[in-house]
Amino acid sequence: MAGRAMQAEEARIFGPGVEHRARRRLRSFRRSWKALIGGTILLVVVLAATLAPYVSPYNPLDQRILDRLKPPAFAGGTRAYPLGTDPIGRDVLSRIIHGSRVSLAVGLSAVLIGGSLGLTLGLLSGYYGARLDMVIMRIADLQLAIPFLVLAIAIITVLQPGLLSIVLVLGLSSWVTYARVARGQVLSVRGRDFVEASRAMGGSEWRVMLRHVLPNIIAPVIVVATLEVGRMILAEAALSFLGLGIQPPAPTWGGITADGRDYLGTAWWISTLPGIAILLTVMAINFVGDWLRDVLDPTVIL
Amino acid sequence: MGRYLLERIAYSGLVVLGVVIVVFAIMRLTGDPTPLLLPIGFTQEDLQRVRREMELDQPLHAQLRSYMTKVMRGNFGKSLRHHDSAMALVIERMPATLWLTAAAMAVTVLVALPLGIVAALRRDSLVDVAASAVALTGQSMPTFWLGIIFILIFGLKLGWLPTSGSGSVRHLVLPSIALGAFSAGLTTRLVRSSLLEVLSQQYVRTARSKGLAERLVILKHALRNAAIPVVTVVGLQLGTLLGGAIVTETVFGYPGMARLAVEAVFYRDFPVVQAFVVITAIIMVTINLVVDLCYVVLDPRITYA
Repeated sequence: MAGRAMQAEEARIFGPGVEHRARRRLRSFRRSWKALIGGTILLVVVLAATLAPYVSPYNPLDQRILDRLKPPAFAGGTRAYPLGTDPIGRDVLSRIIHGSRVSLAVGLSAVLIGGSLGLTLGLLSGYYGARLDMVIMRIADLQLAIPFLVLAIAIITVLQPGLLSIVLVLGLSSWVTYARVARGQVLSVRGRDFVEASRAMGGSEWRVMLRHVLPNIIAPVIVVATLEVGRMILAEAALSFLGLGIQPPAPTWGGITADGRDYLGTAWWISTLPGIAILLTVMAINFVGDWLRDVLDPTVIL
Repeated sequence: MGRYLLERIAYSGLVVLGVVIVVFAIMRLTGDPTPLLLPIGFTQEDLQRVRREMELDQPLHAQLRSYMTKVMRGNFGKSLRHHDSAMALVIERMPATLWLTAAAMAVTVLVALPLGIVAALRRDSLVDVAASAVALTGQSMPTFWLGIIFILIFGLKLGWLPTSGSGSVRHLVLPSIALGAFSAGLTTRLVRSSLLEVLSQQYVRTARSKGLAERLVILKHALRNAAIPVVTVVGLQLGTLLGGAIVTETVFGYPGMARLAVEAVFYRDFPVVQAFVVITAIIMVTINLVVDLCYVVLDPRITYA
């Protein structure tokens, strides 16, 4: 009995070191189910995007005005339009399937642009330090003083809204997160023995940076990049919802939601269903990101 | 401390100046900024006249100088749509946006603190799993969609709360929850992980082994130390909230400066847009200054001598 009490006291003082078996199981399950569910959903979304013209029942732009505002099959509609139709008789399911193309394309290319820019600047900033570091970090402060969507609005007023300006705006204004993470990591490996050794063996600055520093800092950057794909998809959807993103009639998840706004009382499905597609996709990405973090680098707090 | 404060204020001023230069540069993204200062459907003569009046035919550095002088006096030009000072228009709508943002920040903190703390203290329990699920959902939902769901359920179906306009606390409920959901999710996860990290530190172990009551260990040793990263992130969330206000104000027809800016974009009313960007930046640096000063209160090790 005294042993039990002692053990409980130990657990209280030392924290989660002394663990119950059931809890340990729960935790290891928590790790893998995220990857499993997230991966499955993402696979479906990617397949839908690549095979959009083959799997969607209709052309997303075809209007059948006689069939306008038909409810989804599960809410009293017909099987002909599984998720109903919009105010000008376009099939909502086909539009959502095609909308996944825009979301994925914008999300991935924005992360590619922002990630490579941020990684490069963070790497240089952390590696060379001194004046370069100061300049880059001051620019980062400047960037952070203008919230993302606010900057996007300003740029889109000047350029015309469209796929290219969206990708550029999102990509160019998201570099700071990557740069900060990369810089912090570089600072922590810069003085390590293997870096010194490579330098002592006559490795050029570029060689040291690319062959020795980069591989050792890349894991947290990959984690951040994964989570950022979700954030970029949310941002694109918000801009398209406002009418400042990809222009109609092209189907986008944010745009379809906006199409249904005036019909909330009578045709709730138009605005609510694309949001579920966004929610599921972004959540799946966050699951995968969390799992990657647990596996690759548990120290990153996000 | 006084000197540090002065330096920080000076630096904040520089950041705002930098933002003004960024806006100046954005105006010139297409080469000629003159069309941005004219209403849609302008004539060639208008173009020439405004170009002369605004000194846009001068070399770039001269343009920048005259631009800066005007902006310093709060002169962002006249709104192309309302024919009123752009700055005055934005300032007039600013309080509504600040209220909305503050309310969303309150939602964030009121949800994230209790949920994150309970999740960390009952790590791997069902409560923890549930809190993580709620937090992740909040982080994955588009703000505009949550707003629309709220309007559908609480406005149209149940009729409990107003779904547009402003003027009372009741008007703020739905928009602030919709706006705060994303930040609340993110902050919950951060409170949890930061408290867990602190709980594994030596000083917590020491406090426990000297027989301190668990409540005191948590309150005096753990929470205070966990507060520092949390304050940082809550400060950073301000940007998310101010940006998100653009969407929330549009969904709920809320008359703040962010909605004014969105309308301005459709009219290509650049003077209003630029005033909005600069005012937002001023709010951002001011709050960041306050956050920095909070560190001094929270962490006696930081003195900024």
